[in-house]
Amino acid sequence: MVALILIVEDEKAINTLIKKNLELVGHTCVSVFDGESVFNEIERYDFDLILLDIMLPKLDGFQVIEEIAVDIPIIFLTARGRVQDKIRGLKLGADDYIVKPFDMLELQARIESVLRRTNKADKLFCLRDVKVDLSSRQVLYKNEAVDFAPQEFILIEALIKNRNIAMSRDKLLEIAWGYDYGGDTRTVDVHIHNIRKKLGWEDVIKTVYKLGYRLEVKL
Amino acid sequence: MRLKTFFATYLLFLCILFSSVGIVSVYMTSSQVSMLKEKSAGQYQAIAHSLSRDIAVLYGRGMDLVDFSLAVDNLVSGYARYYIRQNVHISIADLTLSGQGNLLSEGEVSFVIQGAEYFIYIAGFLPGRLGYFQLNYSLNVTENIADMQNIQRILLFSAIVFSIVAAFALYFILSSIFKPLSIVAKASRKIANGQFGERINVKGNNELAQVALDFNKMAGKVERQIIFLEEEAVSKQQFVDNFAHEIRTPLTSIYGYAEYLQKASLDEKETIESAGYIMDEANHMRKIANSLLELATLRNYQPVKSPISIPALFEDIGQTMEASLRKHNVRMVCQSDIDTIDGQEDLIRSLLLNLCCNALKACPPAGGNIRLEAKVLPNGTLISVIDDGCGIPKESLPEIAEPFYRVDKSRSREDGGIGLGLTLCNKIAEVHNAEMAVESTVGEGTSVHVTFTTS
Repeated sequence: MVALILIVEDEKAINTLIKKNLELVGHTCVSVFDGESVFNEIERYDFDLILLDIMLPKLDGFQVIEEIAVDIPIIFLTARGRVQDKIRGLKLGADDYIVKPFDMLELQARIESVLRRTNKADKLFCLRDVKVDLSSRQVLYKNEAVDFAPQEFILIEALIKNRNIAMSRDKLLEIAWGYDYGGDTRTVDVHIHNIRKKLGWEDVIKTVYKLGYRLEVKL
Repeated sequence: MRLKTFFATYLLFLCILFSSVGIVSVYMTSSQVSMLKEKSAGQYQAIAHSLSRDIAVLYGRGMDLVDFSLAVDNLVSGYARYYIRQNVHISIADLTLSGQGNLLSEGEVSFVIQGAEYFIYIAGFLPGRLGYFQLNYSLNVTENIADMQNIQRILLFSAIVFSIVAAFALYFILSSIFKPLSIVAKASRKIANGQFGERINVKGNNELAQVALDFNKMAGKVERQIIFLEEEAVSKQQFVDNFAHEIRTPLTSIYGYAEYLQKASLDEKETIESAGYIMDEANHMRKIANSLLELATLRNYQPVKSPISIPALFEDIGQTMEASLRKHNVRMVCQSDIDTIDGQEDLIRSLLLNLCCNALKACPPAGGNIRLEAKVLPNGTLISVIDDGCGIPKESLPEIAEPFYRVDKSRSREDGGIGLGLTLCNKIAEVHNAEMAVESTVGEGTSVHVTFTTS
């Protein structure tokens, strides 16, 4: 799942913010602040994804995407929320179009989705004695298969994909059980407790005060 | 209106025409009849006279009664034969034979209708000794009456033809009179439907032309007002769009960093950095709010004017700017030909500071020059801020005073501006009855001239 991502955004604060967020889940990022620098960077590195703003100094996002010769997935990340802009961006070959202000988890999910489509997403996650195969939905603990309820596996998957980011109980409940599930958020606590015990992850899945859980991985 | 006028006029015309035709035909009939009566009376007198003379001659011959009456009959039928050619019937009655006559009025001329025929009838006694002979005279006037009725018919027919022709003529005349009105009506309908550019082609110099002229004036005013409102609406929409964009960018950062602080496990350095970004962006939004508030306050604002010393103001601005001027390696020169201008000092100061900051931002990193000038004009005072920086592209000049307008389309906020500076300057100039003009050449520099007119 670890990808090399180019962030093209002239607003320094937002550029840094995106970079920090993507590095949390293990991606490596390169930041540039104008349209022209994109071409230098894609010559130097083999990027898995480009996050591209539209209003940029020197060369705007539309011009950049038109001139890029190599086949790299591109997501537009812009304040221009008009439908015409979205259509134009997608027609020019962008893989997705995200309007600011965006939610961090949404950004992660969309990046993940584009990487999966382009077969650049990682299928195997290893931490200590645990191996998680996301495609075959198998979990090995000390090389022995461990059985999980479907909801529990979904929880593990969500925590892995958003590693180092705290997931709220509500969000986890929504991901694993759906919007219309009437149950209490304590259901999440019970299942997290099971996961911790089965995988020996008591100190890996951290409880975040008043919020939820975070899978911590040292980078 | 036109139809009403048409019917009223036409009805009046018909009344006059047909009553005159009626009067004429009645008069003609009566004069014709009385003429015929006079003629008959004369003829009757002549016949009676000569008949009585002839009868008197017969009487003088001393015939017996039978012969005498036979001779009289002969004589009368001779007369009758002669007069029948003139449509006159004559008969005579011997009152000694048929008793006392039934004559109602002796010698009176009367007009008698029998079936489809018309007669003038006179009956009387022969004069003198022959008074026992009653002469009956009747003139058949059917033909004369028929002729007259013919004339009347022709008269009526021509009156009808005449009134039809008159109807068309009247309609045509009214149409041409009302044509300007219908043009005005058409034009106002078009304007009512939103075609505000509609005008009337004015011809002539009469009252209707004046109406058309006034109408055009009104249409022009309406059109200008509508265009003004439309422009106003567009610029308001533009403002709202820009404003949404301007606050969305800092909001993205604020929300993003807050979320980051909440959800990631951070060390102290990162926490401080993230909080720093949040504070910077919040600060930026506060600046926008303050400037907008200032702009709102300046609307319809009456400045409290007092004489401001220009050299002192220039020096003050120089001192305020000193640090940043040195940092950017920019030299500022002040030159003032006047001592004071009238204005509200804090506003004028803010205006000049804003312009100087813009000039400073325009200067290249290598450094540049700014000139602050005050000059006397025939009708006022001119204050100029002149730089030799990067300049503004010509196509951007009309828009630079628009709120949140940025020459650089990427809307980079690196320089810390919020995009309301020139809007504020323009507003300050406006409340001082001053005119702000910007001249610029790309690569050579920009001059901003503020002209204070003394009124």
